[in-house]
Amino acid sequence: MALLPASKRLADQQDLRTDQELIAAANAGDGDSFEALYYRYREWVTGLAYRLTGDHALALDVLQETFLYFLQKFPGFVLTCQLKTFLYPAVRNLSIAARRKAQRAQGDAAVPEELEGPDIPPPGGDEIDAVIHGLGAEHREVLLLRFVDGLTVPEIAAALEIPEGTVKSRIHSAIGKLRADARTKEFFMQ
Amino acid sequence: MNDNIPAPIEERLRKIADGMTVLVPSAIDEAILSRARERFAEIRRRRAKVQCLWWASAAAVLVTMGFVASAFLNAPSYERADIDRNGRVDILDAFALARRIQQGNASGLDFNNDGVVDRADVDAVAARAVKLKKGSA
Repeated sequence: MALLPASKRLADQQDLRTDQELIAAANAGDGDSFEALYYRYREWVTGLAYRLTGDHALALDVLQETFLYFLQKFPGFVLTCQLKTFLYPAVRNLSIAARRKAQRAQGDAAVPEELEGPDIPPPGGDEIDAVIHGLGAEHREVLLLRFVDGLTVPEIAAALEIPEGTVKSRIHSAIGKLRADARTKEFFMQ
Repeated sequence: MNDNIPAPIEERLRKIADGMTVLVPSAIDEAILSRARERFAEIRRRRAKVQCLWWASAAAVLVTMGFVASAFLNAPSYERADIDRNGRVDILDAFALARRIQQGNASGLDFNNDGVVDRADVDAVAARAVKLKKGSA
């Protein structure tokens, strides 16, 4: 199997064109533009898939399925939001499917209809980690999307397929819990 | 309440996200990208085919237009008084006009411009038919 030369991979990662420009070029049949998009979002998709499945192998399966799904959108793909917003529901649904499949394969009786939420590693004794972990999956996820992935409230709502009001309320409530917790409230006073 | 979080907490969220990085083996990259290369090669082939069809259609339209224009330009032009379209105005055209007036089929053939098509127009065509051309003996 021919592997990509490292210089090509680096060039794809450093492509300065915007997502929209890359998508327009890919719609015209330029495979290099798709590769640049792949390297731009590969880590994010894998990280999110791992966050949702808690399993490295499943995360890699979801990565493949997500980009094959994305690939099928060409030509004629029109991006009307951030690419992360477009990819998020695909990663989420594929993660649910991957977990169900894995649990069926293991013969688990309880196959989840919905993901219970991001399966982040247990806190390593750090108090802030413990508070964040204690927020619950829904609240932690909106915080990650808002403050790590940099999505806006409408983008998070589109990604999670929930009303904007629910997103605002989850962010508000999560911050409220952080503010109220004795282990993190000092940060809000500085 | 201001929906912002303090920098140390934001930093910790980033660390949590970073801690979930999964190393992607290059075989997986290659599996995905080789599928992508096949797909985009197919897209390019399809585009080339469509472009070919487009050019063929454009060429067909141009050829058709050429034929139509050429037929139009090469069409023989007749004088208005050449009623029987035989290429010259003669006494037979005067007879033809008289016959058409009789049949009520002579609209637009007002050769003397008096507003009606009648015998006077037949005379005008006849006069034209017998008129000597300049320079003829």
